[in-house]
Amino acid sequence: MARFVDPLVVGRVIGEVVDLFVPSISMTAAYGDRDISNGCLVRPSAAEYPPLVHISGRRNDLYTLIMTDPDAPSPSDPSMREYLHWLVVNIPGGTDASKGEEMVEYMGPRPPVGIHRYVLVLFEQKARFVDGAMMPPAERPNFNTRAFAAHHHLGLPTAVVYFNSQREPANRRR
Amino acid sequence: MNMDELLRSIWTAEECQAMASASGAAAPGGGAAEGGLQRQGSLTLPRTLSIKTVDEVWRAFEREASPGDTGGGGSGGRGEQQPRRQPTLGEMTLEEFLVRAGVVRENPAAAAAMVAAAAAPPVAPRSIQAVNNSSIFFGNYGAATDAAGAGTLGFSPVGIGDPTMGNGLVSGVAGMGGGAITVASVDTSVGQMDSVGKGDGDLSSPMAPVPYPFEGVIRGRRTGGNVEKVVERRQRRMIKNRESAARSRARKQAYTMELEAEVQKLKEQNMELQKKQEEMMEMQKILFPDMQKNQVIYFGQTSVCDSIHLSDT
Repeated sequence: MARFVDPLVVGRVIGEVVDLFVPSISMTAAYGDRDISNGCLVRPSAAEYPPLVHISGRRNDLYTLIMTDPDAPSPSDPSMREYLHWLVVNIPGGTDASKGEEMVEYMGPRPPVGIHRYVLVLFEQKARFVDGAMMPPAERPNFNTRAFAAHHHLGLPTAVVYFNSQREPANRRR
Repeated sequence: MNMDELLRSIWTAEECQAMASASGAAAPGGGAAEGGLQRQGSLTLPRTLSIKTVDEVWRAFEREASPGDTGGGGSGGRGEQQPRRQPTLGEMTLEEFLVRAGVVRENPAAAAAMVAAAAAPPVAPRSIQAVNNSSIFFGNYGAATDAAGAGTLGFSPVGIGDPTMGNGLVSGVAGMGGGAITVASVDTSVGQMDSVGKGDGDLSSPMAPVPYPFEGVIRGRRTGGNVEKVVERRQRRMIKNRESAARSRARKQAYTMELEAEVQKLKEQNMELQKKQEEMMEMQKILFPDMQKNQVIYFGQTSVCDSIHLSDT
């Protein structure tokens, strides 16, 4: 099992975004037909629209998905760590993120400086977030996954995947 | 950290800086600077040196600096400089460190003009000072000068690397002009002669393919006041660059691990599927021996086999 976590440790996702955890749910994410594996490079233009995030798990369980950038605005000086890109709650197990409720609208990666990591973190919810039970953060910058999880009793993540993205030269942008 | 890593981590920063200052540094062949600098991008250290850690190199310096060690190849001039050496060790700049470690040699004037004709970037007055006080950096260097060796030494005011101390071999030539110091270098053949003939004081190995041409090892800065700032900025940049390099390595490693895990997973899956297929074929042979003749039917029957197989077990 440990080997599924290793890239996250080396990529310092475990440590800087989440604590050490044991994956219990399988999560696959793909931008179009491009599957995301840990550490792969995704062009911002390929990630303009939300990825298809499919999760395993039982239909009765509900999950929260967070996409966050711990390297904002620059990896060497992440003064905004973390920058929240996406927050979806109440995703039933065995489905994909589009079946959940989007609390913070998806925003594609727009790394101004350096190569940023974009981390998709999945938590299992203890219960359904009904209206008003979940206050989404007011701002995207300076989001904290750990604090958010603690505040909403989400515990440790059940699955994490991350990719890298780098600002594209202007002439390559479409 | 070994010398290879050190060099790699500082290289990018140095290159940028040199580029930036190339124009201001008033090289006769300023235009060539860019090409030369880019060419320098691919570095390989002498093998013997690259595996040394920075600490080892430091220790070697300290050993050199201790009075007991002067003997052998050293000359009178070197002995005299001995006492002055100690204090300067503390404020050695990165460039000096690299020069002493044998990582970097500057080109002789001719080569410099040809290759990177250039960028003798500005020198921080402080570094000049340090060099002045401590001719050892060059003297120590086994930088004996060969009369034949085109070793022109434009060093009069400083007196670094006294030509007389040579054992008849040139290895380093230093030229100093108008606030910018360029130290000339050995080309490979000379370097080899040097180590073979003398085998002293030179850390670079004969294996060294080509010593790095490294213009502007010591750079001059016109102003005296903001030296501290410059040094600090450079250090900060170096640290940042090192961090960035570490991140880059980690990124690469993480991705490699991910791919390796993926390969492993797929291999296992593949093996499992192959085993299953074999089992199924065996099963089919037993259940439908006559069907082996016809591949089409065989494939058509797979699902049947599967269900039989499953119900069997």
